[in-house]
Amino acid sequence: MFEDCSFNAVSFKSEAKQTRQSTDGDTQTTPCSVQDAAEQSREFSSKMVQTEEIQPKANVQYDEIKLSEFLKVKYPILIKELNYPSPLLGKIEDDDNDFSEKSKKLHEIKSPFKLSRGEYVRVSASVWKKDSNIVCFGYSYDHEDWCCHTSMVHIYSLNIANNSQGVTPKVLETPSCITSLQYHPHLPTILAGAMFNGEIIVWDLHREEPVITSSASHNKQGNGHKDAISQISWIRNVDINQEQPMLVTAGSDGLMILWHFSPFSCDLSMFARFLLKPPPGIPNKSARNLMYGLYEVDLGVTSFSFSPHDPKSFIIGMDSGDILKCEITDMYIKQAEREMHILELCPVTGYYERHNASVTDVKHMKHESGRLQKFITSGVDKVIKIFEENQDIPLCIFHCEEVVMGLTFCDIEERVLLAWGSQKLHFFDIYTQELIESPVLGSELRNVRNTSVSSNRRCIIAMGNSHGIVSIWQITGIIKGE
Amino acid sequence: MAAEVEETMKRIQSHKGVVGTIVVNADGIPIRTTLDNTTTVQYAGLISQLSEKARSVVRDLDPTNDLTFLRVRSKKHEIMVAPDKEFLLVVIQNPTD
Repeated sequence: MFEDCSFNAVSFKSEAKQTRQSTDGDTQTTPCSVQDAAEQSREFSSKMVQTEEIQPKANVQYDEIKLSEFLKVKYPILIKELNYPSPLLGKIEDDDNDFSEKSKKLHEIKSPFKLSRGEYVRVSASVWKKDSNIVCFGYSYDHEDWCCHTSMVHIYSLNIANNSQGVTPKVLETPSCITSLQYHPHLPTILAGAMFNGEIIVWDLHREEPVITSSASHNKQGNGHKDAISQISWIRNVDINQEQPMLVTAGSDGLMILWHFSPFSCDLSMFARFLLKPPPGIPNKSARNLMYGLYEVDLGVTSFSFSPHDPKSFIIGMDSGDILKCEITDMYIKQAEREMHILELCPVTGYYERHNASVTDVKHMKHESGRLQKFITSGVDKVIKIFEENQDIPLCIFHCEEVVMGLTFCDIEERVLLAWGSQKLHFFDIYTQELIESPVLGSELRNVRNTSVSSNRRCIIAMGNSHGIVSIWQITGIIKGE
Repeated sequence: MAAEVEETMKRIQSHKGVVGTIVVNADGIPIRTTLDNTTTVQYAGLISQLSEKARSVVRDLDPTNDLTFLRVRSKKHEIMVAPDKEFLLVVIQNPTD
């Protein structure tokens, strides 16, 4: 009565609105795609060979006559080279290790100016390119009042010794007398110059047309220096987030100006402007007012030096003999950025014991890491003072026979301070605080107006005098104490 | 003038060891050559860039100086470059020949 029977399965449409998908509880992961790390290559082109293949053009236009002349000129040179495989370059005299003479004259370069009788042009600025034998000189006439001269900057390459006759300079013309020159700390082709008429000029020496930026007084704000600029310098950017160095100028008008310089757009723009008047509340103000006849006066800046460790801290030397301690606070920086640079702030935070006459130079010691920052000042009163930044009384005082016109350190020997006057060089050991030597470099050397020391190991000094003559001396023997 | 140019090119080419001669204009485009098209284009593009760079180096080191001649010695060849404002003369020499 019963029989086995099988039926095919019957399907029906689900009434659920959405069909659910279920996965196995043991493998609730999405499939992973695995690639071998070694095969994950990307296509890139080397930085060194990012050249595009140049497709030859069907009809390139060129001047056949010029090509013929070019080949005529180059043919003999080429044949000469083909006949002499890889000749050695001319032997350059290298007397780096010859310190038998304490000082040795290498060159004498005479003034390039054609002067009328009784007229003199002096070497007013000199600067060595870092780690090279290239030196720049700026020239200036003597001024009784305003400058209406044009002047020049000469750049000499002194690679071959004892060849001063053959040295031909690169000449940069300037609209006014040069007062100060400084190479960019990172870009060796950028040279900044300050002029007597208050203008700044910046050259890119790489270009055929060297003047790329100039005329700070013609800037958008129209409030550059109104008097001669006494010093120009590159400093680390006061804004620690910015890498580009800033340009600083200070002048006889008592102004210090910080400039933003962009080497790419060749743009110079004012960042902040400091008026160095003695602010109220500074100690000894009554004494100062007596000194200046109870009138507030604008004080001319003769020299300044920024701390190598803190770009916001700097020392200023004044025409009056005062030495000012200054600081650019963060508040100043924010204010300068907010108010579009046109500020007249006073950054003075203190004074140091003054010189009895005009301050001629101020220099920070660079090699004082781990110790208190020290700086050195010199003055027309024939005195050199060494200060510690936190003390207004000098640590030591050197008395010199003549007016010390400038100070410089020798990179090859950090302990040696070179102070130069119009006829002598004074070498001081700043560690032992003793005078090493005061050589008279040649009887013909008189009225030195500017001196700079090269930063290479040969230690070459360039001294320019009031008659536009530059003497180049090697003083390694003195510095090395041999 | 074209004949003079050709004559000079031939004289250079006939010099002992010279493998090829190229004249390149200021834009790096070859205007005369004794080599095949591919080699010429490659040499013209790369050597004109190298020459410009070498000139920059010389002038950066000393602004009063300028590049007058450039020799590149390699294992196989020596490339000689006579630069000028408007043209560049490139000669490839096999020094062992």
